[in-house]
Amino acid sequence: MAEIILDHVSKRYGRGYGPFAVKDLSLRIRDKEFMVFLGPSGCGKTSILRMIAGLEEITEGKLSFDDKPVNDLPPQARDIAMAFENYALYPTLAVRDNIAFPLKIRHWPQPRIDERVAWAAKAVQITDILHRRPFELSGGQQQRVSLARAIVREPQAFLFDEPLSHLDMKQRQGMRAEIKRLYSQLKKTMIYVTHDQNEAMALADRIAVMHRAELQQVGTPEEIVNDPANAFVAGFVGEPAMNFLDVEVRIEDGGTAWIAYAGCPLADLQGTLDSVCRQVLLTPLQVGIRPHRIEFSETRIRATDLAAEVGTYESLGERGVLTVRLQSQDLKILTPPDQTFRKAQPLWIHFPLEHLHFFSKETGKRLRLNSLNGRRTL
Amino acid sequence: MAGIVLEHVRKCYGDHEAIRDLSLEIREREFFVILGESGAGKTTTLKIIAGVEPITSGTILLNGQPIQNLTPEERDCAMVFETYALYPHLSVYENIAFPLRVPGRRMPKDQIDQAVLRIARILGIDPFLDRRPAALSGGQRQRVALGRALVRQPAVFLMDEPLSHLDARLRNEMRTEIKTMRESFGSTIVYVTHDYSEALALGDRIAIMHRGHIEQVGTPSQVFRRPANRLVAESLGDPPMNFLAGTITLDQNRSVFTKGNWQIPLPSHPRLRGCVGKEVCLGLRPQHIRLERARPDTPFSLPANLFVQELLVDHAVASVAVGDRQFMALCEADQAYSIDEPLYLSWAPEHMYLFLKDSGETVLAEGD
Repeated sequence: MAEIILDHVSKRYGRGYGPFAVKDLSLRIRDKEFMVFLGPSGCGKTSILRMIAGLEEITEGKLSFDDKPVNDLPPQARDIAMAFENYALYPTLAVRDNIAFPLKIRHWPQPRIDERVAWAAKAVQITDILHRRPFELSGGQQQRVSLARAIVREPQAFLFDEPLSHLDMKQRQGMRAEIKRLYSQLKKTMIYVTHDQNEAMALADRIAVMHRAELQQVGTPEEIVNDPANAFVAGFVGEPAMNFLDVEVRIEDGGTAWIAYAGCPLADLQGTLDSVCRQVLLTPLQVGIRPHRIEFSETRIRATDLAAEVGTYESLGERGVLTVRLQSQDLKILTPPDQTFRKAQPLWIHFPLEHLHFFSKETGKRLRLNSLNGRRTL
Repeated sequence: MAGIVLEHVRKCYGDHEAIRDLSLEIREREFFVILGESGAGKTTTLKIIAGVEPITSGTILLNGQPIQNLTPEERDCAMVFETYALYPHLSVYENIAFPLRVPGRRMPKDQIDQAVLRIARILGIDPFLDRRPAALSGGQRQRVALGRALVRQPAVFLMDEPLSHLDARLRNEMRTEIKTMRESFGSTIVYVTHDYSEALALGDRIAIMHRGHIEQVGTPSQVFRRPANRLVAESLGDPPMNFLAGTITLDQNRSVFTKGNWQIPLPSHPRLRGCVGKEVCLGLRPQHIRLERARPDTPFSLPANLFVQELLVDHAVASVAVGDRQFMALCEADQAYSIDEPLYLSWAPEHMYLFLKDSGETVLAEGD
């Protein structure tokens, strides 16, 4: 299998008349790519995975592996492994036999089975527990065994449906690193569904962000963070979330332009704006800025600094989260830990122009401004 | 008005000792957090204070008065549980007003009105007072439930993982909400959680609990920077602190941490004198570790190999193999290393922690 191609694929439950679970999705998943579907619950990501696996019928559109349509191909003919689909291990079987199970039922020859089991066990670092029974293992070890069982067969593609969601924080981090490393060794197509942005960021070659049955954007983790297609993507990725402000652009007779929030200048649009830019900027706008990009000081430094006051400050050990009140709205700012702020202490807030993202207030679409291009806006 | 003192409290379920010899003083108007993993005895402690669970032995004082023999109703404690259903057929207003209308505690109508409006404003749900729960988002419902608990203004507030079943985003928003709200309330709050960032953000003081026993009580900065033992250090931080086992040896009359061929000098501290020859664990937090390709010019360094690197929104997490141990280090998002690449870890000496291997007791903490 080289590519998995979704061509205008839709899924509706209720015999094809219910609401859309997936709406008009077109996407090429490349050979050996780690593709993550990211979105809140109910966005359609699991339905996509199940359609690719063949567990769910496709209501409309075409699914092909390379140029071969597979809409009607049964799951077992697709050469795909649904990892963690059946997470439970067989309690009566030793770890070795649990891993060998998918090969035994396919009647592989014993020497070949031994070879594959040894390889899979080594890949997830459980060679020393092969003789044990599942109940003798820790939760993390059980997870590794089930991962070994999934990879032992070496199919063309692996599908993962929220494999880490029921692990605790520490185990989750360990398994995430394990999967990432395994991928670099296996070099097989991986399709992975999650609602956890950290998992998506950490694992993916590309992330497909879903919302309300529709694909919002597909891109590398850097693109999703630095160059979000719309306000949903920008707000969904990043913790604390991006801050959004309703603003307008004011252009004076002399040609100087600035961004105004509640009538006060928030940023100077230095230099010239081309005419297209001017047109775009005169529609209702929202600007977004990530919490680690906002600057603040106790004294006013620039004419565009906005007055705000301290709401709460949460010191979290490694970092701090400062919530300030700007006019009638709250902004979150990331700071170093162990700072001291007084309740209602006045602060001056600076929004560096190069870190501002512009969105259409009406459609939520990101507005890419040529004259503001070339700046890094993480 | 409402300090709580537990003296030598024990709680057994059959043969199982859920709480062993717990002594604790919670100050009046304090936001007191009990942090621990599931099964640590946190919820049991809360239930004991509420009077929902009788204690096996010991004393509980509320405002100086023993209360272990009082019924839950007589204790003036309000409890917020992890799951709390709203009444679906009542409006938001009626849901919040509900506790003020129970028989025996009935308030006059205008006072109810005042109390409900005050709470709703603090929680930002005053625009939805006429709606039914079904017409609200998850976060709004959560606030209504909080409002219903807060409206009564009891002397003591007991909160059992009130945010644990929310998703990460909402949990962080509600955490800020509780912190803000806290400033307008005079009640003593005892708050149970397994989430260390909730504990650090909210607590005036934090008790770290493990297997029915309290490991340390202190301010957020005390427990984070100067943990009493390895268990406490491990339970605060994400990714958690990294540990490397070794021994303390003497080199030209100076104590050093030794692991195989690796030697790391230790500061001269009186606590180290009695520790020569002892097995210890070196502790380093992920944010204090620097990764470099070239051998750094400092003795506070270890060789490592990159296991895997993960990019996150504003930073990256690198897992590295240090001998047979795996370490996590935070690094800049634009620094890319390849798998198995040889690297060096280094750190500033003041960020080094040292724990005794057997007891877990802290020998060196930050700044020693």
